[in-house]
Amino acid sequence: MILFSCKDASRTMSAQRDRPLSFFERVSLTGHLLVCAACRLYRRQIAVLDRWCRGAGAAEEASAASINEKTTDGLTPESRERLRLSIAKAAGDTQP
Amino acid sequence: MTGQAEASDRRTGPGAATALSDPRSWVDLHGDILFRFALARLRDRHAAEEAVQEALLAALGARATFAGHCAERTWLIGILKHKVVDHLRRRIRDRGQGDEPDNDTTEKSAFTWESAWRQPPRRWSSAAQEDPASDLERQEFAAALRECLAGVPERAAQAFVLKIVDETDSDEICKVLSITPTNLWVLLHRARLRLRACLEQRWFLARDQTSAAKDAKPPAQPKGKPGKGRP
Ligand SMILES: [Zn+2]
Repeated sequence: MILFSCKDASRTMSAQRDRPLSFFERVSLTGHLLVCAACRLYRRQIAVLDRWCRGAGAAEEASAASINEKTTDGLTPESRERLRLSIAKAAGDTQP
Repeated sequence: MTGQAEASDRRTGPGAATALSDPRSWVDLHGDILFRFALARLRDRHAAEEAVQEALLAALGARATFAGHCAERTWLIGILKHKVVDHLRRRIRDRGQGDEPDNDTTEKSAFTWESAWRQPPRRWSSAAQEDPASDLERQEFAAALRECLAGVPERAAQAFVLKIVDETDSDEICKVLSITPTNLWVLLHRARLRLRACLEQRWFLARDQTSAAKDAKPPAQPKGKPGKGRP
């Protein structure tokens, strides 16, 4: 049996979230996890990480219309103006 | 897409109505959110603005097809998603394909030469791992995630956002980024290594402290807003 290092184990645990493991990966990982508390933590935590991140897109949608406190994150006044103009122009073209 | 639609259905505020607002108000109502969404995925302000513009113009042309099944903003983000993917695809094509020499240092910085953890994961309390307690907390986490994603190498960050945050199909991601499934797993692995470590500091351990502080003195401090005590 191949002995997994923490590096091998972390790779395999991440892969496990996206595809089934091969027999050898499964055996080696199980062996490593028996003796390594850090990797047991890692496995639990990347599951938590994925779960939290999955909801993050919806949170972006729900946040308030404009982000006043963090202006670096939003549109610059110039970008906003450019966008406004191009929409207004296109809207004007499509409306009688 | 359906998950996000469901998540925002119950919300009120801008974009919750089932009829569309005047397109000329879209930039004011949704511009920042759309831009931030695109920026997180494209990492380039110019490209993000372009994608937002393309999405808004496409939405304008497709107004008649809006069925009112979801909020206006959800509908716009759905369109923007496609425009962002178009941009990524074009960018990968223009750069002449994604197999540039791989000098990623993620694993080197996470593990010693003996392949052991440099900084082993620390224990998070079970309270800190629980699902977000409120929309506010969800948004604070999204902000922390954005900051941490900035420290993830570009392609790994793209793969992670597309796969985990947006729940895009793996086949589609491989096509868009023009990579093999094995590449995708490697990229996701690197992203998780970096994000776990970063969010451990920025979020999960910090959340521990704030919830511990709340437990210690339950009432009697109406001044502090929740979440403000975080470093
Ligand atoms: Zn280990």
